[in-house]
Amino acid sequence: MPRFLASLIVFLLSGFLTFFAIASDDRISDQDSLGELDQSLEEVVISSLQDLFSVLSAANKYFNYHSLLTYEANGFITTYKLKHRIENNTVNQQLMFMDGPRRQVIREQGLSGCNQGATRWGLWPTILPSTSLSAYTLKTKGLERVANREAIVFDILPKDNLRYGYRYSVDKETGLLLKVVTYYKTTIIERLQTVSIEFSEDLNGSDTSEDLDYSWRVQEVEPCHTEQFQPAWQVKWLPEGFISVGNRITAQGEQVLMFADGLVSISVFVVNHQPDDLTKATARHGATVVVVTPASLQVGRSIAVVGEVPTATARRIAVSVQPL
Amino acid sequence: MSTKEQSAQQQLNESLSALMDGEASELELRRILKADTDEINEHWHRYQLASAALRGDVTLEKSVDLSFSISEAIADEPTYSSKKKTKTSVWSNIGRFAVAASVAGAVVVGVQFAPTGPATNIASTPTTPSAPVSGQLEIGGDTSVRVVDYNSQVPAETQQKPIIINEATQQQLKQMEGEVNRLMLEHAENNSQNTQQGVLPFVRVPDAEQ
Repeated sequence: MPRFLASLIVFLLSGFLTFFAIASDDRISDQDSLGELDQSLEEVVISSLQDLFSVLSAANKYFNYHSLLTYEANGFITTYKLKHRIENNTVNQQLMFMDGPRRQVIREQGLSGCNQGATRWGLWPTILPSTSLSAYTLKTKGLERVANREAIVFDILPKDNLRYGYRYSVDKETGLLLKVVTYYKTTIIERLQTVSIEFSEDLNGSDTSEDLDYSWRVQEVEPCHTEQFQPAWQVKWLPEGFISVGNRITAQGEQVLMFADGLVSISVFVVNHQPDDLTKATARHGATVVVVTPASLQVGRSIAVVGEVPTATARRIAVSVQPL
Repeated sequence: MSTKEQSAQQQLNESLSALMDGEASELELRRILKADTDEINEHWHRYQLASAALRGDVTLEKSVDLSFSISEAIADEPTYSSKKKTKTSVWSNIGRFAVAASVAGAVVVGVQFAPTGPATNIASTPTTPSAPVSGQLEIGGDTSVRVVDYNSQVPAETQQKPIIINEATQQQLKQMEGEVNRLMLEHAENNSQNTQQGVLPFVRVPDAEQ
């Protein structure tokens, strides 16, 4: 890793973070290039989810990298190539789907964030207050090897059965998230894992001409989206810790109410449907569940709850939605 | 193991298979309950795993390697899938449809018809508590569709009824799958802006174009 990047992250981390100190006999240091950074990570302690998220967020703003990922859900494995580069004070993220139809997701955002970081929108989500994150407890599980790198393993355990638990493996050197395993109790729901990662100061877009052939290209919604409206619907029940993080209108003109508990989010859609449409459905892909149910008191409307929660939780939310 | 023990074990496995299919008699149930717990647990887990794998809905214990466990579970229980196929042949059609409709889409685990919908298309014969599966689902992709009783109090995951697929319901299912994929993409955008999970929200998005 380039030394100046290491210095940057050292500066950043040392300023406002405490990183969990791994027992010294467990530590594996790479004296060639990581000595300085490694030293710094020892001194800081990750003692809360906010600390952890600050590390993840900071790392994404300071490292250029290419990585290969696998995602395992519903009994199938799919593969991805991720290019993450910082140019002209802007972060450009390109996620290519290596299986199935040729497609990619492009995300771009200025390092300063939206409205000087005052809004939640964009690539750098605001870290929610500790009152929201209180639905989880953080435990450090030690070290593991991921993508031929040393990673610190954190268990993020829910305090109830209304949501999932997570095991994050965070690169010890950079603070990048290398692996996420989602659990419901002891059952694995999905697994995202980095297979390999390469760092470079200069990852230009030289090979994007090839990538542009991808027929499906999803641009992120307006990066600094601030549109708000007065919702005509309310959600009467949510698991503890979920707070409203905004409302928006989709291209189809549907109202979307958004909630987050600091770790996962829930989107509640008010969908118009035709008389012949199915009005009840449950679908699942990895941790994401979609529950569609007819709206109470309104013919021709359905409520769709989408989020990374168990089906029972989503269903309970869906039936609690009412017009104001 | 003596021939007698092997025979008893075989009988036990058959009982367990029957239980899994919701067809165990009271006698079989007692036989299972009396048997060695660890072994039964392991078999039960394997049956569940095979069932889950066949409907593209895998549950795993954390230390278990995915591909190995599934192939092992399937290899060990060849009668499971073939038995299911003959019993629920109506699902072959759904499997073909579902795979064609969505190559890598969301897994629609339950669909219910509105009261005004084509209720006559829903057969009233209750089936087993395990998921109906077909050869197409096993080979073709990670999409499965099944229909649940509209008035049922039982969670959608544990109760399904077969439906007779006609053009209208295929259209409805296809539409719902498209809708579900669209909602997942919309949600991914929300999710990426409100959570610290990196690219995970977008990785989760099924192929919305299908």
